[in-house]
Amino acid sequence: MSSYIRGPICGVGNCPSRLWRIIDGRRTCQFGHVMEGDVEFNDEDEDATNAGVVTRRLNLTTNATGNFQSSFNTSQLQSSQIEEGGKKIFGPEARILFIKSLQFTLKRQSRWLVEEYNLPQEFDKVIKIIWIKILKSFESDDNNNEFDEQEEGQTFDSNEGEEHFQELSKKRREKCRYRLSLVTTLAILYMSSVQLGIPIYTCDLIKWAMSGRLPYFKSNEKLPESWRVQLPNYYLGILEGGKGPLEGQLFMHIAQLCTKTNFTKDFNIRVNYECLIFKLVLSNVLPPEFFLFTIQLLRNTSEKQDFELNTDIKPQSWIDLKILAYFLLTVRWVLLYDTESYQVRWIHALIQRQKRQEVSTDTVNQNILKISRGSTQQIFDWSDEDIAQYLSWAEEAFLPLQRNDERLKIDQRIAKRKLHKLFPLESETFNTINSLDFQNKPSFLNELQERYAFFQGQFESTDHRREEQLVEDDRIKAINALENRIAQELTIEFSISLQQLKLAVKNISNRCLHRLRNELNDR
Amino acid sequence: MFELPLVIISKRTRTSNKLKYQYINNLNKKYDGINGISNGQTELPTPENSATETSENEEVVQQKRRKIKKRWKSVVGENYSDLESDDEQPVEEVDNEERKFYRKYEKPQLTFEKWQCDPKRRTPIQRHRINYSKMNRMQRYGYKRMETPLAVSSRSNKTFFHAVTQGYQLYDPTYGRVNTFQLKHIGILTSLLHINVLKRKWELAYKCFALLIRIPGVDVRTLWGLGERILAERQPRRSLEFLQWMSSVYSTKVPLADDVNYRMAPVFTKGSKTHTPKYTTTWLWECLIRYANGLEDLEVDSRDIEENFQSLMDRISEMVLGPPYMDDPEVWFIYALCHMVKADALSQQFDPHLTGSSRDIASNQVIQHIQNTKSHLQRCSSKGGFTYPKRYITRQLATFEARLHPTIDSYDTAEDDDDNNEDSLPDDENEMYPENLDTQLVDSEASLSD
Repeated sequence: MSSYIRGPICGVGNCPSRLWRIIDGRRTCQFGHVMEGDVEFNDEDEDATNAGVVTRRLNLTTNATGNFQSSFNTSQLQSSQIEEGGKKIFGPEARILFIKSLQFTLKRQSRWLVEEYNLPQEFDKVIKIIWIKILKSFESDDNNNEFDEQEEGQTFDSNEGEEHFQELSKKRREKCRYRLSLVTTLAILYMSSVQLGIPIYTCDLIKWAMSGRLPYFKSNEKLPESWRVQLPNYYLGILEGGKGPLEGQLFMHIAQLCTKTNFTKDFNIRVNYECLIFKLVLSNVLPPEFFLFTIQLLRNTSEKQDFELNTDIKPQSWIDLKILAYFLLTVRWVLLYDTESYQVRWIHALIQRQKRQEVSTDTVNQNILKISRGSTQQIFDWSDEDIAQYLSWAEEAFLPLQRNDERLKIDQRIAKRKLHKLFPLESETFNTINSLDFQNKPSFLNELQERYAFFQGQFESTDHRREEQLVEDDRIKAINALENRIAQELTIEFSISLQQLKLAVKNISNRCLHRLRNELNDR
Repeated sequence: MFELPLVIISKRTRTSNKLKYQYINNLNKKYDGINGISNGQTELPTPENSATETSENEEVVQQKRRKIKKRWKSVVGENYSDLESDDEQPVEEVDNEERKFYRKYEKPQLTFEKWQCDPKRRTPIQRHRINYSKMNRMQRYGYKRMETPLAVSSRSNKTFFHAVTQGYQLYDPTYGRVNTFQLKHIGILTSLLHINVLKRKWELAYKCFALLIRIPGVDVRTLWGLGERILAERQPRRSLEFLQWMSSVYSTKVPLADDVNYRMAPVFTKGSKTHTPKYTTTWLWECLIRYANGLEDLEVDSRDIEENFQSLMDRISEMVLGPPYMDDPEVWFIYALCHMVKADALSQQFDPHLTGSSRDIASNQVIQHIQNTKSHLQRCSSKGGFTYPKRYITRQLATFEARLHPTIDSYDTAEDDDDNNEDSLPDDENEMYPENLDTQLVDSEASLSD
């Protein structure tokens, strides 16, 4: 017989019983009175698979007066609004906790990178060193500030002047105060990979973060529960990640961190630009000679320190951006002057190159990044394969980011589980045409080879004769179109604005022309 | 593109709503004052004394409310605050202003699907005209009263308030222009769900739905219609389970605090003490139709279905004992139809060669069901607001009864009617049957129109 549950007083014929049990699905009191209107149905089939599972009823909990509380609170979704008042901490304590949580996230990120990409163990250590340096800089900042405040009191007597000065100094402090955020963690990751000479660039970090692989978005959910309860909402919002790094924020952070940590003095700061250029050439299906051209141009027109991390926050001095500019410039100039090797129709084919369906995880990540940045309108044009690809991404990467709300009551959790059972999410039950392909995705190298081969095939299948009559005007148009297309993709990949990229290209081209002219004059 | 299935109630929206309604109420008060409308209260307020008096009144009301609330809390314990579900003070105030506003009107959940066409119920259009200077006076008054709350409100709320008072509408940035990682992907999933349902690609739509309901913050109640449809395509049996889950989990037993969220049509997303949730009626209709079809289908094992049907009837008989089902004519109608189907089935099984008490028992059963049908229909029409083919049903019932006393000459007509019945009963149901169930489609509007 089932054990008794404490509940409301039965009251039938002054029955004093408070103990209830369930007989045949009806709630019955100690003395055998049946509670009205309280009937349970159990018309679920008893599957063999669930044999070991203890089933629980929905309405078990009682409230303060002992009435059985009817199961699901309809406003359960607003339960997030109920603040655990008083548990939050504020002020400097909260700041320390926030820094702690950021450190926690950073640790998770570095662990992920080390495990996923087999980075050396030193990677983790370098990150730690940089992080310690940052923390130290905060400490000294705080000391300075206190010192400032003391001085203010002494030097200014008149109230107005003091207020004015305080405002000014406040503004100044705000300005140079470094704001920690999740982007900081990306910056630290990048800096340590530069120190170790690992070919990980900002675009990679952004790609991994935006596709939900690298622990970045919703990292507030992954904090220890006790921390999360205590952190003020403001900091939780920062740790949620929001939109991800935009308009070169990441580069700004890198530059600021370099100032903070004296990175330029103590660390290896040369960015491994060859790898990045190689990557760019490959991902745009250009022939390998473009790599050599770019390197040549770059070596001829720049100094060694041009590709070292610096503390300048202006867009002209962002390293990755400079490399992009060189690459774009090379493509443009080579295509402009070598009319024989690169015909117009080749350029056209390059522009109209179609994407392939069998893609590696890497490309999926990149696609997700593009989706996250693009407008929602484009999904109307998606093919079934695109949709299936997106959905499987959502299942394997987006869903795990979501938190299982621990604050739900037991009834709610049971109800949720039941709902999820009604809509099971199994990749096996999901049979689209391509589901097999998704299970064993090709490696990135294979995909790359495929891409080149596919492009070659496409190029050869185009009509030869029609293209011959195209005039020079068309060539420039085609080159512009190609450049625009590449630039568009690059702005998304590096999450910079088109303006910044254009500015960088202009800068670099001026510098190159200047150098070349000087050289000519010298001769 | 599509509305996000999220319940976004931030403090900001709450306060901005509060400001809006406060302003409208003030304008109204002034308007009534100018036109000498007493508004049911005894005194005729002038601006000055009304300003002092109403604020006093408000305070008194507030205090009373607070007291009541405290008492409730002490009596009911935590449960009460759970229902209110928000931190206490601001919500109460919002409700105050908003309720004050809505007290003058019928609640949207009542008017949403009913169009008042009855000439008796029409309220005359207010023919008071005001001139420009009067309007200015009213506006000035309204602004003056709003000065204090505006001074303490945030900048976005101020912008919202000024835009709204000028007759503009603020485009809510959380809709459409979604940019954060989380919202963006939820938005994409929602769009994909809608697109795939439109294209009838159920596998993909199913996956979207299954993913969406696993994301915390997504409210199943805004999506249940699509979910039901998708599930009905894939596994028809489970869709009933889903509807049952909906009606048991989001049951109307829980007395609902008036949710502040008017952004989503409440009819389709929730029920209340006075309003049957749509998923419950859908569930009942679906059950009735499926089981009734099953009864007619001779190939299926009939015992199983009979059991199901009986349990459905038991369930409804329990439901109609309490609100809101008690007062819902639609539920009563479904109940009546249940009895009718039962009577039909029993009368068809009726063996005219029986004699003695067993014959009496069998015929009594049928007559019992017919009587029940009639009485439930009576209840249904007494609730009003729901029409059904009365004459048709009475004729059907007569034919059922006639089967019990087969005579040679009535045999033919009975047979005729039988055919008729088979054609037209499902036909009648088809009208009700939400074939293209969509949360935007009121499936029984035809019957509610008169």
